[in-house]
Amino acid sequence: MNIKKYSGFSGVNSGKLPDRALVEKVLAERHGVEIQSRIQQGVVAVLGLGGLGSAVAVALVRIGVGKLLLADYDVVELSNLNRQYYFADQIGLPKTVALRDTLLRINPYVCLETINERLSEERIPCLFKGVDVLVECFDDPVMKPAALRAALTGLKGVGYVGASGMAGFGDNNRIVTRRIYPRVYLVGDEEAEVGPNRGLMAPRVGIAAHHQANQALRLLLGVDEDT
Amino acid sequence: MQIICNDEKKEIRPDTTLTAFLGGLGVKPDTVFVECNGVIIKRDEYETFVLPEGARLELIRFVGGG
Repeated sequence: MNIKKYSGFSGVNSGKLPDRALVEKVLAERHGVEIQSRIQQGVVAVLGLGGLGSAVAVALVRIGVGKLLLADYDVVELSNLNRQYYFADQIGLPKTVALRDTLLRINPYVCLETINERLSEERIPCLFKGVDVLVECFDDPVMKPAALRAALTGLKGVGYVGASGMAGFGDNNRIVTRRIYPRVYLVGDEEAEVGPNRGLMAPRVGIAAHHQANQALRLLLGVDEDT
Repeated sequence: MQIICNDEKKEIRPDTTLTAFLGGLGVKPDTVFVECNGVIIKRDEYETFVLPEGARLELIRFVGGG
């Protein structure tokens, strides 16, 4: 029988939360002690908390990333629920608040910083100094190159994972992760924008988001291979 | 005269600005990241930046959605 027992927490409807040490122990057992130590020291900023950003943040909190900076200016709307990691009872809440609440339910000990403002090319270097990896999850096609310029010129050496092209229900495998500079990556098919009968939908946006999350993880773990 | 854009040879007129070149490609300047001869071009320079002969241009065109 492959049943592990942990002292102090049965995990089944006990009504009490696991303590921090137990959460960290379980993650280290799953992922490996050395790897988990590096993940736990990681600081990642998620720029835009829509279909990409909300899923990226959930994935990174699940694996125990130490600190996340979450930036968005918008509120949760009904039309977001087809792809974004929010719930009907969160409609009207700022996305930073709604996502913070969800992430703390996954790991009550994660360190979160929320930034409730509309970002600009000029603000990005000021807000995200010292971050290990920046994950660009904007919806707006103007902010995407702006964020890339901001990172390359104002945050030299930062890990960066952008995204472009994930609308509709096109081929899964057209979504790729491309290395554009050392420690700088772009995820997506670089073509599929929102159009008639090509909306943003949870499955394909989720594929792109998890490419981004895995690339952020790889950067935190020091992997930077040109594939 | 000739430039190389994303590894492809392109024939352009002398004194072509970046904005004019992007317009010819049907690309909205606001949605594209541009590097010319290894230098990142700032967005507010696109209108005045004249492409030099033999320039190596790298464009990354972004589409919306996230």
